[in-house]
Amino acid sequence: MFRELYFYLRHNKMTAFLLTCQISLYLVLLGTFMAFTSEIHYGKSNLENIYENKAIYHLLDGYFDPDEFSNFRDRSDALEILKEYYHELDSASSFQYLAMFNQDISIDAKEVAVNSYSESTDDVEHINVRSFQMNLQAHDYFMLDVSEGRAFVSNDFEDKNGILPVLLGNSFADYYKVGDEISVSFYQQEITLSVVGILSENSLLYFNGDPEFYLDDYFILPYVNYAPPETEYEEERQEIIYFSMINGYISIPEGDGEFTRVMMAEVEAISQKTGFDNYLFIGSNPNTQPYRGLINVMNANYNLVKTIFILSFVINAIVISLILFFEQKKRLPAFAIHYLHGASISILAKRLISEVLLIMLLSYALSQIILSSVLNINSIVPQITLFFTVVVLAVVVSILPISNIVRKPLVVFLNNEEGSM
Amino acid sequence: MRIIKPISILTIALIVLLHLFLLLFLSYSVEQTLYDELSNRLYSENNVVLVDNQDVEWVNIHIEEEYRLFVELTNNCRALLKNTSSWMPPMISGYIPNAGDLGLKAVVGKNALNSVVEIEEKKYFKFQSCFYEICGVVGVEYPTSCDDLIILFGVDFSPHDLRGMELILDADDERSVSAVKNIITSTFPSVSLFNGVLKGSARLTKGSFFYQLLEGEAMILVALSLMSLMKYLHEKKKATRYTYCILGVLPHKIIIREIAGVFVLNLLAVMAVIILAPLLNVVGFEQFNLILVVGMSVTMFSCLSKVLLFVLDSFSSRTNKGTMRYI
Repeated sequence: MFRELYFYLRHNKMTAFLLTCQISLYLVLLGTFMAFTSEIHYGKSNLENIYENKAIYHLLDGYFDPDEFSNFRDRSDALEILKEYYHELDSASSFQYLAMFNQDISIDAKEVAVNSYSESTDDVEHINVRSFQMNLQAHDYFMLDVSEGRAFVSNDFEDKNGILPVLLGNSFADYYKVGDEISVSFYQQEITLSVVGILSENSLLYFNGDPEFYLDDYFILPYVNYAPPETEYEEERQEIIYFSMINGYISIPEGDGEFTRVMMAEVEAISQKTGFDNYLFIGSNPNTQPYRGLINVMNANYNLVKTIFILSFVINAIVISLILFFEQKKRLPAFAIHYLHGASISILAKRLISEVLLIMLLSYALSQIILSSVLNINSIVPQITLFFTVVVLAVVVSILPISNIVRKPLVVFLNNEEGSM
Repeated sequence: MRIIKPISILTIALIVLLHLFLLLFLSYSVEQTLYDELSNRLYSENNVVLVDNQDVEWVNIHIEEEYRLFVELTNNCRALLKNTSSWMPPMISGYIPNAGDLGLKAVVGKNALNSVVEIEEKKYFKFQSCFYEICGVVGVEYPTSCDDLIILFGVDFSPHDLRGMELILDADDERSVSAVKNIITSTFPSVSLFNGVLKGSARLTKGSFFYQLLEGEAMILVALSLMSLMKYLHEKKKATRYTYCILGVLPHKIIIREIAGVFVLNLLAVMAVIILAPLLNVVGFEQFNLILVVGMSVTMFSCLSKVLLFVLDSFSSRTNKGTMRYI
């Protein structure tokens, strides 16, 4: 059997080569389509997991008048009020409080890694890098994932005397590694950032009405629970930071208004309990805003890719099956001669299917090498599906010639003009 | 009559299927671009941001490229400063004003229609005490993130007005954006360049990477399928070629005859595609040119494959010291 297979391949080098390349590429195309559809599905379900059936409100302090703001800050208990107000919001039972704010931080331009990242560092001592601060609830709410290192844990939100853990956006992956320490100026204080992880590419969250606020170019810092200040300067600094912490977002389940009523009652109770009574809400339901538009487009895109995938699968399956069928049909006169020389029908059928299977399995192996090594598509689902496709194609292509061999007298094929070895 | 053999019909059917597959992919690229632009608020993925901290004197300089220059005025409102391309975003109704249209005009999304004012049966959008006549509605039937968008036309900014503002340079292809930004940044060193806006399906699904990959794979797959088919047809004719040679027919006549056969098969396939493609809704009648381009490419490739097979036969005959070099 193997000897005959060897002779078959030797005498049909070009045909076998072309067919193997064609079927391999067909499988690679299907594998790429599967990876693409799963990428769209992942992107869509990721957004839905974050935003579906949720309403988000922007909670602001009401100190728009500079005089009122100064008067509040002049109070001796201003920091205590802010801290208590924030902690009550952060531990509220009827809603999730998402403290988030973006703020540039200043980095020493002499740091080689940053110089590599920014092209505009000539003649300046410091450069600004975008940073984004958040509390643990916001971090967990938006399910931030890392490609290297680890995500934030509750311990990262404790004050550690000038050392802050940092998650870096994916754009920084080539310039820093987990464990690096970076000196920065954060709210006019020199602190050290310790890199604990690199965020996955295209990590996003809801910020300033945008459901697609990407964090790739940001340093992500935790909002820590600061220890009582020891100096007046430190107290003023903490006040500014806590002011940014209380201007956050509130998330509740989307509903008939009951959730909103309960949430507002609790915020009012917190306000009265802590003495911070100057606040206001801006309602912002992501389901009726850009998020819904994006999901609609993603759904349409997903359906389109799925349709093209199915049509590509069917069209090429027909083309490949017909070409393979033609090739096998061409072999029937040679089989008839084998039959006249004493080969049994079952041996001829086995030979035919082994020829088809050999090409199919070679193609499958080649496609897997291309998909995993060249295109980095390693998912198990395409591997199994493609193997199943290969087996089905081999069976479909072999059935007709085998049934010809079994049902018709083989000498009929001797008249066939398509004879070949 | 020879052409109407079952094998010829099957060959034509196969070529038709390959045509449909290619057309499907090309029409898919148009749809994919539409989705990417809709979810990126009508910017292509090639856009870049230009900021000049001095007076912006370069908006109206002449550059031999097709591009668009916008300035973002608010989150949802932008003004078109310059358009040298034939830009046509998806429109529900109306039109995009061109350079010849005088006056202040605006194209808005569906939701933005709620904030228009009506004066003498004409709709206007009021922005910074100026009235912009609404001449079109952008978007598609279903809700998208560009439904709140407002694009203003004919706004007269002075170079000083644009100082320090983010100007978005966009074009249909990356090469044009690259050429324009290189000319501007090299002529006006005060201009800083930043990465453009990339959101929506293109970014979330790595659509651009996958589409280019799929397109490349599809083209090569069609080429290989055609070669396999031509190889099969070539071998099938082997006995006939021997017979013609024995009967004294000149080799070049045999070659021309077979290539003509392939050409006729392709021609019939193209005719079938012209009827089938619009019927199956793969492409519309208005994309007749596309069908012809694909048809010509496939026919040319089939004929070239056939020539290549004759050349390979010729080499093989020489190495085997055969007598019939071309068959």
